Amino acid sequence: MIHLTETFKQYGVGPAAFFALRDATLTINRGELVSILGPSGSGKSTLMNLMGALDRPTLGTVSVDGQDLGRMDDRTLAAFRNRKVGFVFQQFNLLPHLTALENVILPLTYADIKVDRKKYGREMLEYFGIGHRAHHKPSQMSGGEQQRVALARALICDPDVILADEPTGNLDSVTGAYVFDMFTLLNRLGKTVVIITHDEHLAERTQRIIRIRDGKIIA
Amino acid sequence: MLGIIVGIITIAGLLTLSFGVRDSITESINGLGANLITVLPGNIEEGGFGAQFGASTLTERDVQAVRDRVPQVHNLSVMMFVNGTIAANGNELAGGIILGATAGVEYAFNLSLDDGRLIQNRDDADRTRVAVIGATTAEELFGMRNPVGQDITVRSQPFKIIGVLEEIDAGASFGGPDMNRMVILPLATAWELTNTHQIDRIIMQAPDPETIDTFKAEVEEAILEGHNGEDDFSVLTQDDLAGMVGEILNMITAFIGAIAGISLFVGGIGIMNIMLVTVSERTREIGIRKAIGATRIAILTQFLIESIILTGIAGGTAILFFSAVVALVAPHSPIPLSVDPQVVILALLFSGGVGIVFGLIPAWQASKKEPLEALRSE
Repeated sequence: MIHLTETFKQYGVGPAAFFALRDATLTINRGELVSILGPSGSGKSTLMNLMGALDRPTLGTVSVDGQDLGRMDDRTLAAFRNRKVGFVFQQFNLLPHLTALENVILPLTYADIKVDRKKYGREMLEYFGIGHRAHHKPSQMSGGEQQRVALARALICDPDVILADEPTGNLDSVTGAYVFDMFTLLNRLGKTVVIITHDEHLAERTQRIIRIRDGKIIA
Repeated sequence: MLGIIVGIITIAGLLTLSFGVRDSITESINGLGANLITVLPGNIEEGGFGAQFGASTLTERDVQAVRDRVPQVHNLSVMMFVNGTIAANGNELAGGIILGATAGVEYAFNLSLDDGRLIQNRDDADRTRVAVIGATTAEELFGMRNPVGQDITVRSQPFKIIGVLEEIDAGASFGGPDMNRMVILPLATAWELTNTHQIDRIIMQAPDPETIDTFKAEVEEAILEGHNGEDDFSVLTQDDLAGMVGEILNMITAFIGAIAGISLFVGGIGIMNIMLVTVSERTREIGIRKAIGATRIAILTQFLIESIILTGIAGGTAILFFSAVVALVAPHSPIPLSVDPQVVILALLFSGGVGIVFGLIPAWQASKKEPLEALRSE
């Protein structure tokens, strides 16, 4: 359902320009649990950013579920990021002045969905075992708890695709294992999950590994 | 922020004062008497206020012309302002005003008699040396004694007091003297004293308020004929007076309002700078919000609202401070002061407006940030 066709991404201009991604072509099918494996600076984050409409390709096409991301206007892209995709970042990226609950339901506010947001948010937090943290701010929580809030937030609009960039990078091994288990569970529930990582062991636990090096996909 | 508070307080204060002055003057004007038509020398519309000093353009012929043409007007009285000192028992009256007037002057200024009698036609005819004095004149020159029958010196000439007026609630008197400090002489006597036949005012009452404009026109015509069509006088009704006051007030208000506007503008720039810094410090937050689905408009609205809240707080503070000041000052003020809800609403609207206008650029910048770059910052 995710297709990249001869996609290039260039950053910078003139002599400082470089290609983060060169001639990338790949397909990720619906319901797959895939990892993108590569060393630092290999372009794996760029791949994820393109798939999640956080960035536009310089050349080539990126399409998700039949929609060409390159043709979308800002409003459509925002809606795409809101409903179709859920991001999980290495640094959690929660809003520091909002509580866990407020963080989780924020995508709902942007989605303009009519639902009892607070109730839904609380249920989501409960599901991830952090219901008791609903009214705490990120600074009052551990890294693992924060990542769980981030997970809950990523899932609140029921996206088809989860994109996770080094999701266990800032977590201890126990919490990291828990988070990875969640990804596996979500995949079994039908979600397409793409995990960016430089950790070979983690990648081996996914169904398929896409290897990338110096901006080129090598396997 | 301070600029906005100062600006709003200034505007609110200005409006409140202006309302207060307007109310006070309207009160005065209406307290004068009903359906008055006043004729003055000099064309006020062409800035003829200067003609108030020096020889008047009004003559006895004008008075007769009016009497002939519009005999239906009531209580026509003719007046002249006289320069000179007023004294009694060796004491001089400070701020005293001498008025020469025919019978009927009491209708022009809504005067009531406390004791004695008013100027009558026979006084004018005989040029008697009599005077009617105002309440403050009586108090300051005669204390507790009854002035009626006493002597008073006007322009070093002896006069007999025949009447004392009741005290008049002065308010902010416009276009007229402080009646309480007056000494009224028969007009003919005043003319004899000054060796002129100067007329400074012709005041009359129209029979009813509906036709007052018709009578005003007739009076104008009557005098115009005698002046060979030269428009060197003014005929005013109380509405005209009030209107003139209104115009002057508006000009002053507009001028000071402009100054307050500058303060608001400066304050607005300050807000804009605050918001620009805020936006740049929260770039990462903007990136996160966009990553989870915020549209440009959502971000724009978010920061615009924050800006409006900032200015709204400034405006609210200004209003609170201002209301406190009014509460303290009003009991001691000669003019009626109160916090008009219109002023409050206007102040809040202004502060909100400043928030929108000066918050727009920062909010626009915030909305334009690319999510990826934004996420990378910090």
